[in-house]
Amino acid sequence: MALIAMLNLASPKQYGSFAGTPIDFFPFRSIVQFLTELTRLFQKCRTSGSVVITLKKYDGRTKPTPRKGHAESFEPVDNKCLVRASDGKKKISTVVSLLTVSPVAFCLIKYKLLMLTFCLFLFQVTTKEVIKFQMAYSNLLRAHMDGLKKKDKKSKGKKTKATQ
Amino acid sequence: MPYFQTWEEFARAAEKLYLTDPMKVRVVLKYRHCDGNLCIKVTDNAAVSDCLQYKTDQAQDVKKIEKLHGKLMRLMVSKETHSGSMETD
Repeated sequence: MALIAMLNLASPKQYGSFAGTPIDFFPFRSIVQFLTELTRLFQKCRTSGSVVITLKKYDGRTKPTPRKGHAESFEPVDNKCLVRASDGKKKISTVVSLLTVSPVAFCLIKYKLLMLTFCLFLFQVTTKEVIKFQMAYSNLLRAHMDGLKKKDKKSKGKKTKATQ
Repeated sequence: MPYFQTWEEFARAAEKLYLTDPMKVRVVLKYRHCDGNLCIKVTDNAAVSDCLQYKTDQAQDVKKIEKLHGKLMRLMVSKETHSGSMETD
């Protein structure tokens, strides 16, 4: 929980104010929410079941690819990454992006307040966010994947046996 | 596809596969606490032979796997690698 507090971002509730934004990211959790729920998934699967995390590059597409002969107005972006997690029943997902994730930045765009002045600020906020997410995420993984065998000199041959 | 025997071999192959077609590749991490094992899979769904897997039950491997995971995530959010691979398409 301390990890999530470290992110120090706006609460997911605030996302309600983005109803009018052109970029639709409602199906995805906010980064903070994702990390919270991922922690819960790990705790839930301690006695039985497994946690599956999928990582994939995401081009920002929200509509299916049109059939041949139909014009497409979609322009793929190349700085997004889709992170999904599941325990077999519950599914959660989020998009990690180099730009345009920060709720603060979205508010600024929406209300068109001093766009140019805040452009630099926006960039700083969002790049920091990616780093923060990665730090919190890797700490979370390391903290929860603690059920494996500790290094043992006696069981040297075990590793090769397990990987077969 | 059988599991890779050594981590170094897997890491190299995984990165190579990712760079061939970044848009198609997915990285799956599966952790089972009750059985105490961790499995990482990298695939582009193209052919059976193109699915790379590595499985471990050693705590020392968590750090390595998590490092590769983070590395691939960074590759995915950075622009340079994608534009570089687009040219080769």
